[in-house]
Amino acid sequence: MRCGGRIVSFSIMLLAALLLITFSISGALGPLESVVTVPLNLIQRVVGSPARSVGGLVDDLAAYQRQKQRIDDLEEALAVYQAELAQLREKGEDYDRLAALLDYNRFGPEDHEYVTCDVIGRGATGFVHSLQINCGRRDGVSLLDPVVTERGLVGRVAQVSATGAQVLLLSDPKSRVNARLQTTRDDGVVIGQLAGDLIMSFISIDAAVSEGDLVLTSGLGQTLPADLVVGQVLSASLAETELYQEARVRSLVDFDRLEIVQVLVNFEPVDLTIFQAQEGAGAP
Amino acid sequence: MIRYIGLPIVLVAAILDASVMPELRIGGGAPDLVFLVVVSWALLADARDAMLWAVFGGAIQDALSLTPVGASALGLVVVAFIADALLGDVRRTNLLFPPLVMGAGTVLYHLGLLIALRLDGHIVPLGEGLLAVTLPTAIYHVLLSLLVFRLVGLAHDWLTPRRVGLE
Repeated sequence: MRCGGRIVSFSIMLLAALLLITFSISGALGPLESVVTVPLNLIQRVVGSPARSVGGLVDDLAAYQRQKQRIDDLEEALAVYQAELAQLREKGEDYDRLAALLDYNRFGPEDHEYVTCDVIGRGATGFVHSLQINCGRRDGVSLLDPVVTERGLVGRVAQVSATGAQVLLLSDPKSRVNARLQTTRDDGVVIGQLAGDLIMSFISIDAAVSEGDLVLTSGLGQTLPADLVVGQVLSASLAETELYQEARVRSLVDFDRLEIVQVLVNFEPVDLTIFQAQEGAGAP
Repeated sequence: MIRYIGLPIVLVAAILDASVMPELRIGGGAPDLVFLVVVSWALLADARDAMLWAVFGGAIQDALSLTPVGASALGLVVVAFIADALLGDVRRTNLLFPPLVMGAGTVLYHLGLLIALRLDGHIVPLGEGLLAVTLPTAIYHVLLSLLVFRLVGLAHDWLTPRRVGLE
């Protein structure tokens, strides 16, 4: 009897879980999730800051960690300078191109409007690389907004509620970013890896990819603004198919230690779905 | 009554999973308190309570991340049911079963998560996922299993005092 009760309970709970997954994937739970996450984000904000403080204390207690910290600081400074250098190079090249164009009009860094947000949580499972931030629709954050730090691109807003948002990190296996090598101007796609690395794929086989090259967003597809720093090339090799090159890219952002991020709130992606619809309908 | 007392406990566990536990991440793995509490209760007491906690705690955990809601619940319910069906009630002093169940259960739980993620179009390479995320998480769970099992056992004893009779 007791066993029968458990099987019935198991069946009901399993069905409940499957229904939740179905509704969640179809988007039917979106409004409910938005409502539920508002108080949860508030609690997380309260719980998150002492947790980070405790984490910092543990770091300080370990003596050898101080040396590591010093190295981290230097790396951080270097990364900031590299990001600045990348932006200056881009500006220099922009200047040359602008000189040749009269009606030049683009969404440049000077047009960016940011909202600064605290990181209040991280994805509980290691399979999905995400962050929770304490900015939501009330702060002007909307779906697919780019998220950055002074070191470069962090990811994009994947879910947003009134007071908080979920950010899909650049390092997530689902993340795809159109990117460009700064020196050679060759395009590719930066894909996140489960281990936290980034791979820049689909680089032309003729491109001269060098270690240390900076990788920037290309702006192709207009899903992200151009010239945001994505990372730095560590190594390059031919893809398995030998049709293109792949480069291992190290992000200048330490995704595990992010505390504050900025959301670019005034970038409007170009809606290309109209062209897809036309293709589907067989338009010429 | 006990069934509902557990709900705020797994709520707190889910919030800690999304805020404190990622600070302990090694590789891609970190302890999952909802999993530890649910499986401990399934071993110690009524699996029906544990399965209810699994659905509630899993749903909250998913609402706080980008996994589809219900994905964590799916694996947790299955692990709680199988643990109970195979082993029945386990004594609080048992040192063998909790680490074994937590270790093997982590693999099953993550397989459930991976299937749900795949349905959502979030494709994670199986081998890499098991090595980078499941293995360190399972090690954490084995190491923490006895501690959490004891604590949940104490809570169980406190909530369900034994009946005594007069002769």
